Amino acid sequence: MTILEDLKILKNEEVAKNYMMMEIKSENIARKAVPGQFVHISLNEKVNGNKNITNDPLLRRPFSIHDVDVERGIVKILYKVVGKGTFLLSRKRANDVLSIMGPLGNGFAIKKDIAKAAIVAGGIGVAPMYFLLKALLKNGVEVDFYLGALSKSELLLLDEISSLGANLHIATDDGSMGKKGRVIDLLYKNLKTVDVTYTCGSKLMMREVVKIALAKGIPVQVSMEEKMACGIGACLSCVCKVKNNEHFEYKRVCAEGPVFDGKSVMMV
Amino acid sequence: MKNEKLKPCLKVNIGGIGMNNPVMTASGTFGFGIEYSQFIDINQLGAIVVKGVTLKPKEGNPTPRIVETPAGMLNSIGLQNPGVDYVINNYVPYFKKLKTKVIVNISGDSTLDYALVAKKLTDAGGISGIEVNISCPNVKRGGMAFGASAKSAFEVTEAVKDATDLPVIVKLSPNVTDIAEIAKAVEAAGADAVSLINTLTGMAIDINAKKPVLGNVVGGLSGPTVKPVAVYAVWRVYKAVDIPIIGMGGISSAEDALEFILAGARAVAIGTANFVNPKTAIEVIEGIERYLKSHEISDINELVGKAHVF
Repeated sequence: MTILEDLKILKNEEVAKNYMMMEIKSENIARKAVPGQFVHISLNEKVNGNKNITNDPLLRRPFSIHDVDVERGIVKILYKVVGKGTFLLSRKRANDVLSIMGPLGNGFAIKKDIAKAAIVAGGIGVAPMYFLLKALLKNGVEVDFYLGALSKSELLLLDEISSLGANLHIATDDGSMGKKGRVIDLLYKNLKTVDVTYTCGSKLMMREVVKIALAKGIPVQVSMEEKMACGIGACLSCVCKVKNNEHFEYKRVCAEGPVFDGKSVMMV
Repeated sequence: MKNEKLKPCLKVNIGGIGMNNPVMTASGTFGFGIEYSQFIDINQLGAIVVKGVTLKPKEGNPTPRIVETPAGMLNSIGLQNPGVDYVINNYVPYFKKLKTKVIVNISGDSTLDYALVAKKLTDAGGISGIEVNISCPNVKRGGMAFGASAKSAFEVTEAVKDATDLPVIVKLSPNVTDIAEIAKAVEAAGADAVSLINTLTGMAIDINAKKPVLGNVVGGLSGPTVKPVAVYAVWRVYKAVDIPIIGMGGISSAEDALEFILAGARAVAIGTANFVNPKTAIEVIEGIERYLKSHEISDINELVGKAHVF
């Protein structure tokens, strides 16, 4: 059962320029969520406290779950302020209430028998990978974490990832930290034999990650993003192409995804 | 509340489909119903209209398929659906278990397609009506092409009527010179009801990429932004035909729904608002009931077209 509730914001603070960390109170979502799933948040305001809403911006916005604290019943969302929805969200404060639906979609598959994994995240794509990293480490998996961003100021969670015990590999486009260049070049040179690769970032980046991993015979799971409306598989807006024999079919990012097998998803 | 004890009657009859209340869901916004059953009791709705079905499976349009607009959205899904046989095998058993009335929206590339789909669904049982989509702006063939002229609208309606004994609702496009003329044509062809409006054709352009945003170039505008256009269409059609009207287009509250009813709609459908708040339809039913009580109206049918005082 998906939760659809008005939930209270506990915290909503800037962690880097244009990047925000929000904490929401929800025992149910915290308990149910798995890495790779998302929540669907409405930015509508209620008019005069009744059920009618402002209707602008109209649609809910999907956000991947960054982390959960099951004991304290907290769900964390790490997001970048890019447009109208995220701008309005960034102005919400502690004790404000949001209509939230979730957890939604299928998360990353973590097979029992894996010993080593690689995570490749670009920019804000790091958001769901932190939750995944924690789950992998808890299962005793050794993780190489490849993190790329435009520059040092947009490299998030460096201390958190290192202190959890992942092997961190950093690349920045401007060379302000780590290897200068693209994270995929870093991955190409360094990707060892691991049991699985997980990736979240731009389509451009993920397409290269899939190529590199598959060339080494490593399975790869990708987290897809498309413009979304309902979030529950009804409207068929957020589809992506998935190979089906010689042809393809459109699969719903919200329902069959957002995590897909890199071998079959077509990132065009 | 002036009369606490008044229990207003919300029952309506749409061309032979008896509904417990006038609130339905609009095709394409409610999947096959089951997707929303995790949030609401579907059996409380007057009827559900499920996703448009075609004879053969349809892949749908390339992405992006939607773009948000001020208080609205453009969509160009392109009638992606698994085909009528799949729907009969996989969803009709679920429809048969529902207490609410299930109406299936159908589309086709030809008049014959429409008739075949209607026949297959009728034979399968478990549904209470057929909604004929002659107004989808997002497919190259069929869809809106049938709804653009009174002659083709008449022909497809007549073909579906011949293929089924279920009530036939024809869904009309606002993208015509005179929607009332099309409504009259489908009424003459035997339509049991009309539903309006489908989406308004529109587009958005990405100024950096210097190309259309939608994969299909054009899409259909829906959401609160289209409501005044829709209310006026219902107003016009109410003056033109005697068959019941299902009003839709931007309804997100009971107040919105009541505007449509006063303009002449006997039932209303919730569309885009389902994406925003899956409980909208239930809240609209409750709000209509509250309104009837506070205005001391014992029967919703008394309100239909009541704004036509001029």
